[in-house]
Amino acid sequence: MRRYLRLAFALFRYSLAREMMFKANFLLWIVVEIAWLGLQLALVEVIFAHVTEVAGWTKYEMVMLVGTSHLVQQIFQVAFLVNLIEFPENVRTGKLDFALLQPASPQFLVSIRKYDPGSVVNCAIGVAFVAWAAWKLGLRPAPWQLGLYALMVLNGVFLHYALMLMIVTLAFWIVRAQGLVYGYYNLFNIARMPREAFRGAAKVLFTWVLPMLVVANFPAQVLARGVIGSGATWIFLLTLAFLALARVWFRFGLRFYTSASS
Amino acid sequence: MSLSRSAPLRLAKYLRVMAIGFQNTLVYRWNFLLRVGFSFIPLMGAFFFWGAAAKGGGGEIGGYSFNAMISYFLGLMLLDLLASPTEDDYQIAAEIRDGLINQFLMKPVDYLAYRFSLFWSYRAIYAATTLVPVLAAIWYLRAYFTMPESWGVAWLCLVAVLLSATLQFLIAFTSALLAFWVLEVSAPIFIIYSFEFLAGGHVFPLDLFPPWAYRLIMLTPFPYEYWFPLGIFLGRFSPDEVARGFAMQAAWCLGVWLLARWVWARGIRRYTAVGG
Repeated sequence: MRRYLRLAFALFRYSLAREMMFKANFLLWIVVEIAWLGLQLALVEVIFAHVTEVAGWTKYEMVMLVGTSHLVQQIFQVAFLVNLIEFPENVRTGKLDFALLQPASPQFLVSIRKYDPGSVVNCAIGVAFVAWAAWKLGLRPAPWQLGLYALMVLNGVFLHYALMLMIVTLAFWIVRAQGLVYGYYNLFNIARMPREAFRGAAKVLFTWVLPMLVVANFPAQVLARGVIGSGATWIFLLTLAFLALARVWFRFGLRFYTSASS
Repeated sequence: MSLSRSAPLRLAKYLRVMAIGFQNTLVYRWNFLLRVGFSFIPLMGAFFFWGAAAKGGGGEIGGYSFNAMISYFLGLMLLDLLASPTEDDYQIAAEIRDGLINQFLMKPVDYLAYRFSLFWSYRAIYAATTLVPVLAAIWYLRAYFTMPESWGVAWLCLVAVLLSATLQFLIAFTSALLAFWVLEVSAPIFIIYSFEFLAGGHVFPLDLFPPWAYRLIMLTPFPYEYWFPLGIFLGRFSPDEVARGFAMQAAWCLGVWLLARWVWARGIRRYTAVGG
């Protein structure tokens, strides 16, 4: 475990050094994320110019939901996203060999070989929006609320990770799988919608099978209303189950890896 | 090579490119099917989200009934499948970066026309294979779906969609040409996307914006990518606005085409043909 932590730290330093070689690009990616967050907030602004609530969520509760979803996504992006996005291409070109030849767990190397230090800035922006929403709502969150919020946010990060790992593992069978990455972005957009808006099969689907409605809804609710949503204990177990499943699935997929000649 | 080569022969060249594009897409059919499958997710999201929003607004939101809103997003999905470039920009950028455009500089093939032919072959395959699931989705949601008022409107809409596809391609092409100057084009392309999405009406119908913002946005090329064809489809425009919209749409196609030519010419001068 300590070895992996040291490894993770070394890789982070390496990533930071590499990013600093392309400073303009580093800054541009921060702008990208701000632009997309701005887009979501514009949607909230425009909708709430016409209505007072959406599925029981008021304007600043929605800002908190969007901010929380952004925060979860950005933490995920710091550590995992780049690696998982590059994964299908590494399978196709045979570059995965390098990860398999190292004396460390392949899943570890596939998941956090590269970091995206720029997303740390965007995490801060997410936190700023959550804080702004909290201020607008006149909230005085108790320590337990903040603690549970932080736990649930982390839970969301690992849920994203497990789901994304399962999705990109399909690359062992499907050559050229950029479509998978595209699908993942589509899926993420669900996370910033109020869970109460969904009904029937779709609610079950996005809570238990593709649990996007778990990621940001639960923590935002805890912070905004001091309410622990029903099923809140389940979301932690769900994440553990997804992580276990993703691990099994990844190792199964690895058996089908045939490398590629150069 | 002679310049007097007959027009049909020149066209045949690009038709051949289209045929290759067909095959290329079918080789990676799983990638393609996944894309199609995943594109239903935003529709589901929109369905429930706008449903809840309309309920919050007492059945409508900014002059849109829930049905009109669902028709808008169904139309948007159809438009995306028929007219939006998928990976064209990344492929173009990669071809420039990896020096693959060398072969086009040596041959009597115009790169823009070549990519435009490939674009249409991708679109044709998308349209052919996704028509069934999309029509199924429309049928499933038929209670919420409003058809265009008349055949006249449908034809106008079709023309607007074709021009929208051309405009979307030209914008993607021009932004990909950034690869002549920078190695990594993803970030600038994503920034351009965010403008296309917000100011194009991909996030919500543009007339939900305050009037001053709406008027400003209508001067940019973005509304003519999504909002204009969809607005015609839903009958949101007066005949005057339709006429003006077509003029703007055509003008922007021409404008971005000229821009693409200009950027290409400048890019080629810098180009150093890495690799072989």
